Amino acid sequence: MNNVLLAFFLMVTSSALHAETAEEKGLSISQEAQRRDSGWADLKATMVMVLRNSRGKESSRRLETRSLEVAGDGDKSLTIFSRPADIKGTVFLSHTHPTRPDEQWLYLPALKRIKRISSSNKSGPFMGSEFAYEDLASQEIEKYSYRYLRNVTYQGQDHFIIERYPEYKRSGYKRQIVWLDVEHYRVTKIEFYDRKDSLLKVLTCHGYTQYLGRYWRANEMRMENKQTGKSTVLQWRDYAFQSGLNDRDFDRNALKRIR
Amino acid sequence: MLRCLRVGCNWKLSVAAIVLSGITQMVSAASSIDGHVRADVRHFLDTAGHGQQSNQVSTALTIEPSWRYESVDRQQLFRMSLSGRVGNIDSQQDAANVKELLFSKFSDDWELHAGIGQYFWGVTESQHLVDIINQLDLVQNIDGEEKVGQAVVNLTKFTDVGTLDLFLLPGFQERRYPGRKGRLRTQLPVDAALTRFESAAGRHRLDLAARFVGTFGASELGVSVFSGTSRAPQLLPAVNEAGTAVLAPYYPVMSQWGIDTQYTRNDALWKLEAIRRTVGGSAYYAVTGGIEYGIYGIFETDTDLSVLFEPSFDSRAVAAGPFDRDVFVGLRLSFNDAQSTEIVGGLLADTDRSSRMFNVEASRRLGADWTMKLQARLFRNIASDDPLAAYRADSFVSWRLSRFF
Repeated sequence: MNNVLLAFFLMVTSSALHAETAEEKGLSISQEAQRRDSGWADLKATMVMVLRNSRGKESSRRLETRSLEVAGDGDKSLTIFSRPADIKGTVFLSHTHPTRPDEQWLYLPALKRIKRISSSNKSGPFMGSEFAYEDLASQEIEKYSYRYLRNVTYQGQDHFIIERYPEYKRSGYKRQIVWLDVEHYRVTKIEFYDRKDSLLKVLTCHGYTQYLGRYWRANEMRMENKQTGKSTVLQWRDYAFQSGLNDRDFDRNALKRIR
Repeated sequence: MLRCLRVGCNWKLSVAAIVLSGITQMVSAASSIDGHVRADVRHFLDTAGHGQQSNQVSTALTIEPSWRYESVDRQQLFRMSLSGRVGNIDSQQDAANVKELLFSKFSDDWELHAGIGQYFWGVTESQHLVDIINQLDLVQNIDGEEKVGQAVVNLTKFTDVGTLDLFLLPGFQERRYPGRKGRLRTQLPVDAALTRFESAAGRHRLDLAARFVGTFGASELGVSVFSGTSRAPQLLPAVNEAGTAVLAPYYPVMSQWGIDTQYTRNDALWKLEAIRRTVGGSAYYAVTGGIEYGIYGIFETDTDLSVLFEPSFDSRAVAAGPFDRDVFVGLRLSFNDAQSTEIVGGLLADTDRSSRMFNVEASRRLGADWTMKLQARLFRNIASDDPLAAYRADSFVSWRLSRFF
């Protein structure tokens, strides 16, 4: 009898010890999402950005992005501006790192000048849009801590909802609430809460398409600022995976030969 | 080309030959044209200080088209950038320049560039000590941010620690100066007809330069060396053929070692540029350094503020430029709006004398293709022995409208 009680006791405590906490589940969902989206090697894409102010007036930007997956470190990315015309040829290079500060450079074509810039501006608007630099940066696992909230049905599909808290300095957000679909671990919606914990922006991703039979990419991302009424739409085009880009293409000195 | 080296014939021809042979290889390629046209209106606040200078509002129209032509395999690129300016006051300031006419061949570990090119070396904002390849276009911009193309054969070699650039610089572009009527000129006008060179080869001397630049964690380091005709002439009093007192440009041969480094940590960019220059057998040092500090999202807005502080030092007793023992303080306000509105302001203060130079520029985009810039530059309490003394009466406000295509 005593042995039976002991066995029952052990069973209960061990299962309690191994029950996944909300934090662990949040992290494991994020890790699974990243695992499914790794191995793409390199990616080129064209982005058209349409900015709309609260009166509905629109202006647009056009840029090209190139990214390189780096094993054991953050990704490297190049952003080449082609519109508006006055900033055509400007190039932004970023080497992201999971824990230490990212390294960033800017190439200014009129002066032929390469300038190393500070990467601590996270919350500032990118090109006057509703996307902050931190929204467009490579989303490394270590940049956040996580908490699983619940599952919901969103747009007819089962979704995980997790909350994540920026672990890097100077974020404009206290937290973000992320919707990922259970089947493919794709981000379909993010709510951004400012440092005072008020809802600031809502991002929704549309038109997911699968590439190379594995990698899902949205062809449209809409960011709405709930405090100002402004919005920005990113239209992605010409996704090209594995075109053979290498470290040299993302070197400081590659900035001058970008074209 | 080797024969040219031995007999010292016109190097420009060899460069042109390399460029042409490159272009003919680019059988089928992608090309694009862009550039801008701009109008400048400048109003001087004070009556002209030197005889014959104009008191009129100065207006100018400038066009800068660019053309790129790239081979399908992206291993070869030809680019051309021209600049043409016409103004209402001083015909000597009107010019057509080739800013760039460069053929480039790319490989994984090296690049070869030949033609007319533009280069920028350095890290500081108030002045560019290390930067030496190109002649400055001070007629377009007295800040030295505008350059004239330089004939060049440039080999770039990528290594794991950084990039090494080797330069052959055949042919020399003389500095242009405003004419008699022009503002922002020396007290006596410069007469280009009296130009002399130390080198017997004159403007055809083959100059040499090399630069290494690398990134080491949070630091960028550049080391450079140059041997050739000084881009800045000595201006010597003379009398020209017409019997008028003028300044005659004399271009000595010089050598220069330079280092430029930047350490980037959090919101601060720490910068240093230093040169050791030998001209006519005597050497001097010059240093500029300081900090650029960014404050992001001031007053809970989207506006960023950058503060710059850059002292300069020059070891010569009588300095040849306005940065002998000076301090530059600058501010940059970026509003991060859809129109990229920006205001920059700077003060250059001499620590030995009373001289002060203020500069404020405000710019923004209008619609998709236009930009507008307002500028005010004030010279205040300029000491008579200051290199800026000749600009004393030349404080101005100006307006620039640009159309990009």
